[in-house]
Amino acid sequence: MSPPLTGIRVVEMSLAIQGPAAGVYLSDMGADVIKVEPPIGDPSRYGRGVDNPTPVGTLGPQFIACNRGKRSVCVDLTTALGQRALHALLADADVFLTNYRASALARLGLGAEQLRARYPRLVYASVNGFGPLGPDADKAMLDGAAVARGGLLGMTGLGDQTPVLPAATIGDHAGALQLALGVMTALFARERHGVAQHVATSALGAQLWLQQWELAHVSITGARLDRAGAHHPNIRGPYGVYATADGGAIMLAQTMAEDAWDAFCVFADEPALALDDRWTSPGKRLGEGASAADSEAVRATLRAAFARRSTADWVAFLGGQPEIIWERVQAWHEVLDDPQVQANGYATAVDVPDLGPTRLVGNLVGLSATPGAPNGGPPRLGADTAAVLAPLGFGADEIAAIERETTQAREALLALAAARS
Amino acid sequence: MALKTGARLKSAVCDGEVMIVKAPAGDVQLTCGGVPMSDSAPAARQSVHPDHAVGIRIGKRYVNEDGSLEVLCVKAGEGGLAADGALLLQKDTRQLPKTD
Repeated sequence: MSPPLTGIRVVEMSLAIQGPAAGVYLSDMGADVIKVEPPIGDPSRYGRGVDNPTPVGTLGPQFIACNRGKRSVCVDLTTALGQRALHALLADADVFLTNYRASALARLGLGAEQLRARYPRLVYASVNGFGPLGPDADKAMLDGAAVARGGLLGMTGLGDQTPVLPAATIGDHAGALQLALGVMTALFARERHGVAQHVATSALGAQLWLQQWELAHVSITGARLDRAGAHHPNIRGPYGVYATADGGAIMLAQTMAEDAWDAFCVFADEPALALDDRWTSPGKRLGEGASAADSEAVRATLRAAFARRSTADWVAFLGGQPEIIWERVQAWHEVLDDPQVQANGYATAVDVPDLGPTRLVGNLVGLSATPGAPNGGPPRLGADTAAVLAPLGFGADEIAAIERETTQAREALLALAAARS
Repeated sequence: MALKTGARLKSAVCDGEVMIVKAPAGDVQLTCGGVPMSDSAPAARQSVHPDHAVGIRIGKRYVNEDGSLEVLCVKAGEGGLAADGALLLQKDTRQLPKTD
């Protein structure tokens, strides 16, 4: 059976992560996602990141990850021909997906009200930094800014030190997740009610979504929690990360049964802990009734215990304890090789221009009857301009003109950049 | 001997070692392999009585019939536990529901 979004066409005008990652999901689910790029392309095409040995000019990893399975149409929207190409695409599209700032879209005549008036069946999906309303509706955003404003940064790290950034761009990625969810909801609403609408999400909103329990706790209790380092600010007791004797770390989440707790305490060479009434039920081990001093006491005991044995020893023991929820702390270079990642098909290999078969994060949503799947690698800039526009009535001369315009604009921009450097 | 909660007792017949979790008032003779346990390792290891040879498993709890005595095995051994001659049983731990 075909993937669920077969026949849905998405016109994406987005850059970096928050818009493009949403487009990847729609592509995995079968949508035809056409990425409309300016003459220079999505800037993430050129991002190198840290310790990147691929030749200069190779597509950037961020672009590859967030744009696989799409087609690229390159047009200059400052020209009449470029505008005509975009509107020809929009006339044939189900979704317009963007993370450009609203002011830039308005300047291009691509505001939500403008497009919805012109294309009544078009779902207009936008994501920005801080929401579509309010004083900062048009404020620029990069991931860390949303994480800072949303409170997560302020609660991560140690209380007496500078807050610590999460190691992933979770603001952007969570924003993309909400955008994809919003698009799917709007498509469903269009099916049921016959109306297309504006889907608006933001990185800030996504940050709140990620912290619903924690923010509710603070709202309800008035508590002012502290950063808790290797632990969770709102969970007392053993829950947390512990360093082992050989440089590894174990995340110990919960021990659900008393015999497992006994076994754990004995293995940890801390049998007296098994008799400590502060921790003798699953609830207590998640901090029920525990004071801050109780928490620090058990954590100090566990820090010493974990530090006495190697990671392999701990993994061997914990691996035989199904009633203990734990994981070895893995690094990025290990994750795609994780047998569970492999078993679930979470990693995929796609063909990337200049790199060949490349392992990436794949489709993560299983559907039993109409499954999605990764739809190939990322496109070169403008690789599909002719193939996409020709069926929409653009002749070879017009396509050549579009390509000439974009080439000239790109060269002008590159010359300007070279002159400034 | 009077048993004190938290005390660790060693077997005289094997590597077994237990920690007292709960103890009744008064004297109780706790044996492993049919031989009294003590808080120090024996100078010479004695043999396991065949009626007391079920063994003890690390991390498991053992109780007497009325539940007044409970011990936690912190080192496994071949001897079986008994209190005043009555064998202790491995405690059945109720399985708690999993959370997410």
